[in-house]
Amino acid sequence: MSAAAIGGVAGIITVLEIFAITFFVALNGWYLVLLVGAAIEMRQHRLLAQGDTRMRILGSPLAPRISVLTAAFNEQATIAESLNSLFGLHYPNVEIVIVNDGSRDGTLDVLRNDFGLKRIHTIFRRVLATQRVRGLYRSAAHPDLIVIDKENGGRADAMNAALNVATGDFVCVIDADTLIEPDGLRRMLRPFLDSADVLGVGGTIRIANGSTFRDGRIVETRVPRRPIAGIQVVEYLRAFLFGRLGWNRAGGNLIVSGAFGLFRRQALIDVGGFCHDSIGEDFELVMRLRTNAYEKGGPHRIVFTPDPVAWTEAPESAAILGRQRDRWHRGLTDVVLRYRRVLFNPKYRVMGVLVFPHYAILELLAPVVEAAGMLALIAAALLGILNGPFAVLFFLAAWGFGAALTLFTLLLEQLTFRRYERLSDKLMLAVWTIAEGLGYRQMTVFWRLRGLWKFILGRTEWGVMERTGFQQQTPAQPGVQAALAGAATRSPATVAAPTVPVSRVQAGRLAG
Amino acid sequence: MNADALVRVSALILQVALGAGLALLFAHALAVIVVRRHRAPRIERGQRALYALLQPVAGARSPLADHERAGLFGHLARLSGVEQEEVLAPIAQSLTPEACEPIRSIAAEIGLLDRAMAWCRSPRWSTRLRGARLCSALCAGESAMVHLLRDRHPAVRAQAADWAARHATPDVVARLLEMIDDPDAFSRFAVQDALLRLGNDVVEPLAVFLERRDGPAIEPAISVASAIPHPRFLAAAIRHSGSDRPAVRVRAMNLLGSIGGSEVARLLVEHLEDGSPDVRAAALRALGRIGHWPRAPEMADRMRDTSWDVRRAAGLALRDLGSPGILMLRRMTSDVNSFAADMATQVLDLPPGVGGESS
Repeated sequence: MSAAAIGGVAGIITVLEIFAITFFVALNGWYLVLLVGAAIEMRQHRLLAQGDTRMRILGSPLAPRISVLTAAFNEQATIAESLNSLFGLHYPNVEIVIVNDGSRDGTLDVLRNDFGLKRIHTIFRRVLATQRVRGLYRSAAHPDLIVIDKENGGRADAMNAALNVATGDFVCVIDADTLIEPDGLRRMLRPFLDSADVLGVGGTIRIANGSTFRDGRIVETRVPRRPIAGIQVVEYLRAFLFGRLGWNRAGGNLIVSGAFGLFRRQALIDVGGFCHDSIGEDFELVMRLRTNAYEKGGPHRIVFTPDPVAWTEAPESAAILGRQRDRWHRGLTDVVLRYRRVLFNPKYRVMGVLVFPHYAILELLAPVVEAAGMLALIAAALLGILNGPFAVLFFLAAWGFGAALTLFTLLLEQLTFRRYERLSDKLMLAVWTIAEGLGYRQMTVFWRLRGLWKFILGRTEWGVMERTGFQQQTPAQPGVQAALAGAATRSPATVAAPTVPVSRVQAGRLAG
Repeated sequence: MNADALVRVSALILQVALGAGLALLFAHALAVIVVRRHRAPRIERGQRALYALLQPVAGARSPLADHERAGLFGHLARLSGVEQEEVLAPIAQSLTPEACEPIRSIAAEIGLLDRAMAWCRSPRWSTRLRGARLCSALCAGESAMVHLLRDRHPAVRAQAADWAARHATPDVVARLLEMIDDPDAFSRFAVQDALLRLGNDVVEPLAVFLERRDGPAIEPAISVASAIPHPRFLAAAIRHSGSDRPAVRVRAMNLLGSIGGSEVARLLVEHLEDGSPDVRAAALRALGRIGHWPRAPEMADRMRDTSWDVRRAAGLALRDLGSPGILMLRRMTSDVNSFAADMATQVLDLPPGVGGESS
């Protein structure tokens, strides 16, 4: 290669490096601001939430009705366990609406046999169009349980069917494989009572892998020893305890995880319910709710509250995690393009000028910039123009900053909730924090890039999710590992051909 | 400064931050372990002392000798404020105000009550909230808590309202009624809950309040009254059923439905012609609830209403009447009005005994 060509490539590499460094400083600087916001928010939250009087008040007969909506597709193995955990919720006015979304296994039979379902013809208005409803059932044993049996239409369609039937003032949207802690609903409701401006509330999702459950409740919280699940624990803690909490102070959240979110029912109906053709349906829903609120007036805040906790199982294999992450990134891309009118639009106030641009620029482009930085590094090394000490220091800075942020989040967790009590678990959290930047993060960059590429190609499949079930503890044999009932396998499906597997590991994205 | 130096400095700062983060994390974990190990036996000793002091009061053993008593009090007095709270508050808050008296005396004797009262007067809202929580748990501190019902911070007002639910004095009830439309949602909710928990003690003042007042406070006040069904609210319900605001009329219908009786049924039937479909539907729900079957024909007429909600409410109310209503519904299935016939068909398909659809 001629000296001129090498000079040209070196120039390009320098530009890329400057861009990558600027991007790195902007993104991480903003994360620092979010971390400070999260700490302030957490302090305020703890002051108000400590003591149980406030929680007891929410057990009043005046408490508003909450409908818990969940969709089940081939959930024969776990549906009874999940429902039993819902019956244990400490809330005085709750109904549970579960949609059997055309399951091909024995989901409906399990529900019929375990809960004594009786067919009913309740009267409801079909305000949201859905696939054909084959039947409605009410449990004789639990009159607050309604089961909708419908033809398969995907999770969004199932949720819309549930919205048609629900009678609550609020709806709590959860995944069929999510376990909610008993006082989760009461804690979720608190932000709605604190401010009339709240449209939706998201709670914390934690990773169930490694922990032990009995009768749908967690009895021992542990950190998984397997790297992929273990790193996801710190990833989730960081995403929820500083990302989303920080956004409460910086213009409100744009994501409420589909695995655990509470909304005003009428607001969901007013915007037309869940969107059938979006792969990032939870993000899309929140965007639609907030844009609609800014355009037409009314409550517009989406709040994250840290103490209502739901537990979900995380993928333990790189292949499944990769499919999940590439789907999330396709979802992000889809929503950013759909709502590009919001970008830097002052009509949408802080959402338009700060929150949405963060997702549209920093989050969406992060894998591209990171990959470009890595490629530039490799190219510079091949061309012999690599500044070795600079590259090493930059890597250490990037890795160290990420690890420091996560450690401060863990500290925040330790100062407040202290869910991981054993010293060995704290050590494992520190180990996974340090390990995250050494391979795992680079893999997520690759998966997100793959997601972008698939989006460009117009591919909308969801992929397969394999689960082993929650680790159970029986009273007679504590600690015995008994997978719920073998592995449940999600069938692949596409959004276009509405056969989306309705319960997933985690519906929302983690970033921010 | 060139890029190299910038990155070197950044890397150094970040490595220091990382080290500090790790150090803080483990220092905190260690501190938690040490504090817990230190506090756990102290709290346990405190709990044992408290039980020993309470046993003679409960008649479980003979009165304590003076030196025994002094020793036990000494144990409790040596605990820190947080530890004293941890020992006394959980037991106290599960007791009635009367049953809580011995614990209150102990709290007073070890100085915890004075401290709680002082916290209630703090300029910091978080300290006032802490004082209010402790006073609520101990059912004490009336002089301070009545003032906190007017506190500028809504969380403190809400906590004071929770305390008020166990203190049915006329002043407290009057203040709670003033707060019924508190601008803060949680405080408003706590006040309504407190009024509800006061039960019969609140009937007379609430009835007078409803008879004399108008404005935004009326809607939550009627909602509370509906949850304490009492004939004393009839005059107020009649008054507000003539309100020019549909939302108030809807609540008045609910209140009438909670009171019941022939006179109420007559009033409810009058509102079946109300201009607002919400009010018509509420009147039908109330008629269904009081089960006044002689009014079934008027209710059946509403099956032909132009509003789906009213037709649904009429169908479900007829179903709630039992046999006379079911008979009406069977007739309606062949009604010339296809909407009425359709609704009657749907309602008759409901299985008996599961309930809930009409609520």
